[in-house]
Amino acid sequence: MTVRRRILEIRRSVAVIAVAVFIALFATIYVQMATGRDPALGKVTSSQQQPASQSQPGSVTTRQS
Amino acid sequence: MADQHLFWITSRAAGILALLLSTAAVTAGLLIGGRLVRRRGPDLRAAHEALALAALAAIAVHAAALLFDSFLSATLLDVTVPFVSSYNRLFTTLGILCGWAAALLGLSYYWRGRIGVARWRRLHRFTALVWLLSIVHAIGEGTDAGQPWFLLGIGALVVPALGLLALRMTEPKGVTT
Repeated sequence: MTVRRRILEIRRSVAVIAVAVFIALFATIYVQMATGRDPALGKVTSSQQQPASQSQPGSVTTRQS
Repeated sequence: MADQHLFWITSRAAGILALLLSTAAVTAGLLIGGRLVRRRGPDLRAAHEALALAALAAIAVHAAALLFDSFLSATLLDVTVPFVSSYNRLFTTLGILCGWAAALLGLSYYWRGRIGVARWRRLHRFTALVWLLSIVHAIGEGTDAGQPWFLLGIGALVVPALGLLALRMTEPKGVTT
């Protein structure tokens, strides 16, 4: 195998691994968020804890900044 | 809920990927110049270059994805110019500076003929400093910085790289390439 072909193979491997890791990270964060365990979307307040006179929506989710 | 934040998730995933790739690139770079690996053939150099370019691409995605996040509503200036964004200003600025420095130092490889090889090598050593500052950016501002999977994943790559860097810095002058 020529050196050039070997270099191309290494570049292709890095690209494939990078895309695979990106997909894994994306999926991890997506599932974390979808299941309500995301560190930035953790503030969920329920209207059941508020006085009945207030007409707030059922739940409010805010992203921490 | 997660569907509303796809660009934000993209930015977070790309940021972590950029840190992983840049750590791997720094590790390969330290192995090329150090004494631990005897066989410093084209494989290691090719891996170092590919990892560095992939890291730069991930940094670009990390910043660009924020432009499309409807919650943050960041502008091009917010993600490219230091001290413009009001969001976590110190760590955002650090991230922007690290991104530009990584791009300039990394891509300077292709102009090393004009820069001069000896001067370029001295310049290239600052990549390690930029990498260390990018870790500070990730820990200081990263949404997932407190998550066990983040700390384990990053630690598994960063700790050996820090060891190699410490080893490299304690090597006697004239040994490194």
